[in-house]
Amino acid sequence: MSLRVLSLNLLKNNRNFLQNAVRNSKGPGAQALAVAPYATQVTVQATPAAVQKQKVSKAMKAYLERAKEHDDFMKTQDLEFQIGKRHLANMMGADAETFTQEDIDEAIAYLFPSGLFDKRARPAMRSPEEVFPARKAAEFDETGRPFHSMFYTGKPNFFQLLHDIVEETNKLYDLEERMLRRGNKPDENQKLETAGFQLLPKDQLERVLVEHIADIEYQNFTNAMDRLISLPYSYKSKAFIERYLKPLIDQSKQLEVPKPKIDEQGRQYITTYECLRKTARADVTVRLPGTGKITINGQDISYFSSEECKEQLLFPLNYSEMLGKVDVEANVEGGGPSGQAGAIRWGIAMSLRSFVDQEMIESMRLAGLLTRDYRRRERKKYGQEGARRKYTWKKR
Amino acid sequence: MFRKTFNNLPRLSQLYAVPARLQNTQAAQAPTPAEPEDIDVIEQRILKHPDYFQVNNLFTVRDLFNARVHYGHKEGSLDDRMRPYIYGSRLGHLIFDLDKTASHLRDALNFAAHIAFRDGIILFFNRNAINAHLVEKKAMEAGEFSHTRFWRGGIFTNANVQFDAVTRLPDLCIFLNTQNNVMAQHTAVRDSAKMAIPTIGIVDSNCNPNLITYPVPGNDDSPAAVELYCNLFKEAIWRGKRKRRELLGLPPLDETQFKSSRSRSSKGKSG
Amino acid sequence: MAQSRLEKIGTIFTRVQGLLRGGAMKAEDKPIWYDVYAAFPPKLEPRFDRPASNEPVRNIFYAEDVVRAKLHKQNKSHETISLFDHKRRTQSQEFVQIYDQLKSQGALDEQRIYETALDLLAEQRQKSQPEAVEEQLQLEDPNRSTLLSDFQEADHQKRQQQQEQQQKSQQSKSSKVKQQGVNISSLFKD
Repeated sequence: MSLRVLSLNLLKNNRNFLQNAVRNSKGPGAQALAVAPYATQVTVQATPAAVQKQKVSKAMKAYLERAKEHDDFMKTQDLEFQIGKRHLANMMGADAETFTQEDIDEAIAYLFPSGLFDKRARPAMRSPEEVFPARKAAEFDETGRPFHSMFYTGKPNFFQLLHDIVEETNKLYDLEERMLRRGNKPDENQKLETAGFQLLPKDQLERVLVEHIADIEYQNFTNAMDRLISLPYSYKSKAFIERYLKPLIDQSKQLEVPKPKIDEQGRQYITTYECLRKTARADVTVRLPGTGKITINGQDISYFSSEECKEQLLFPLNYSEMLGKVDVEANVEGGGPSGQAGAIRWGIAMSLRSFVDQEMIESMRLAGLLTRDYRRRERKKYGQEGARRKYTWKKR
Repeated sequence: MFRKTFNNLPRLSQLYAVPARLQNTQAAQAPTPAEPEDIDVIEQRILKHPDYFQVNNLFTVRDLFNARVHYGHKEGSLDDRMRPYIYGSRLGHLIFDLDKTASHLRDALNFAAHIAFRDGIILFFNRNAINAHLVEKKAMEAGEFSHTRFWRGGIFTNANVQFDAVTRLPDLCIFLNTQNNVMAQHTAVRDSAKMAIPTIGIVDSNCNPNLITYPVPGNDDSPAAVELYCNLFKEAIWRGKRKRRELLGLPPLDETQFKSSRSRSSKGKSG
Repeated sequence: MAQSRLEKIGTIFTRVQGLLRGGAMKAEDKPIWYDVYAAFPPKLEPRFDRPASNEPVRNIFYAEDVVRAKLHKQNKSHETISLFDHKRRTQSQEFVQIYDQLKSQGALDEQRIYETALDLLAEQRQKSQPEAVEEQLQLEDPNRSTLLSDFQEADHQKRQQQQEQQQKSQQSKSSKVKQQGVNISSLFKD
């Protein structure tokens, strides 16, 4: 099998390639088509006062040449892809006709296992239409006249979008004016709900527009959209606005609080496993009606000798005002005192979520109690005393 | 096969039909002889008519006055090259001579109509943020092109690289304001002159009219004035286009379709 | 396009003409504007180095400027002018009209005409203003539009106040005024 096909291609932006490909393939034929109806028109309408010589502009000629070249290239690439697929199917003992892209991915993961971390860097075989970035189709007709009114700006789709936003904004201004004259007020019930949404990020907008836009231009876009959304009658152009909105990721799932269980004595309890800090690991159980008893590996809080570690332990209890109301049991292993204390602290905080209200959880999150501390020991460097400290050195 | 015969015909028509028609150029739409001429011949012939597209009746000096075309800038910002077009100074504000403006504007409209008749590409410019949307809209309605944004250098002078392809440049640039900001001239004025593209420009009292092929002295800031210019140029362009389609025996275009905010092609857009 | 890019030499027409004449540009590659330009050349050649003219800019003055300047110098205007309203005449327009009428009758000297015109103007405004406000109110149904009618009411009140103030000030000022010849240039400097 040729490795050329399996080249490590980064999957470029998946533009609407298929559409373009169809248009490209139409390219050379389109000119012939354009001539034909013209000739018939001349014969049907008996006496036009003038005729025009069919001229093909230099621009169109150059484009047709390029399109043909590209089509030929894509054809050979597609042929190689089909052959590669057939080989893979044979090796895997499957039917080549029904071999799908998923099967290809599986086969390659099996036949060419790769230890590379980045998935995009592993060997892959995709159809050439996905691999080679889409090219813009001809933007002008046979006489070289561009299709788009803002072609000469170089970014017609983007500036058309800005134009459309202003158009919508002006429409809403007019509407507001008319409504005010009539004494009507905007409908509060229909108000546009944008809380869970954000504007399309720059890269996605670029993909939609098939154009590269600069940061400042994206800023212009967001400003214009924000102005449009902030209008009192913005719900009237909901369909337009929603095309450029994207729902935010739902964060409530990440913060879902486990429900406490009931033990033999009828007390509520919650156990948090895998509480990690540095190299320490702990399991923490918090029981609700309690007296403030703290048990660590069978000992009480004097398990930690240093004052700091004890404070670390008590901080989440203190912060959520649950000190003396709950019992804490912890099993901790590995690491040193501060790591162990940190692990238990995190476990207590996570467990306490089940026993406090939503506001307190948010407050604890902001205080950093619910954030895993990923810092690890920094290695010692040669030529230095420690991770950062240098040997004492005096010039002379 | 048909086209072959037609290609021969124009030469015949040149021999016989042309001298008779010269006397009455307006008769182009009147009953015509069976053999159609080449459009090139007509293009040459209508040039002999002083105002073939009747752009004279598009506006009056009163219209210009009502659209506040006569307002110039303050006296201190006067460019000496604009002196001949100034009527006078009213308490420090310059006032344009609207008779001169009208005659210059008629020349410009006539030129634009002829270029449109020849199927030329016409590009509207404007760097004034207040009027940018208006100009873009009117350019779309005229079925032509607009550039109201930051001018990247080399769009004309390095077009084949800028657009990744051999590109046809516009055949006429219409500047609704020739300044880039208060201080500097729009680079496209210079670039058009470099690339031998004729220009029509509304030049205010602080502008330099020298490089503009058909300068029109007048107010380039007021939305009312800019709207008037846009409408006039739009109508002149449509007169040229309509005439061409009529002569070629093509059905007239639906001009309202150009009014939609989406222009003729939204192909590049997928959502 | 084969052409010289030196925009500072000649015009676009002469440059293309040179290319055509020298054979550097073929006749069929001729730009489409070329013939149109030849048929309808611009009034002045669009040369980069066309010298600037040195015509002086004349000042535009009207005969009524003298009295108008006097009016504005001696009376403070409390008028709000809507730039969209082309029909309504401003106070100084009214004043100039009255003044001209009086002058055409011819009996009085300039100072007297001026004072009489001021009085007539105040009289006229007193007569016409309440009516105008009423008319406007009738046009808009007051029950339907709350915001608008609120504005109009406020406006009405404000105008009345202004009228009173203005009358007072005019009376006090017109008594003071005893200036005969007015220097135009000094009036415009303010």
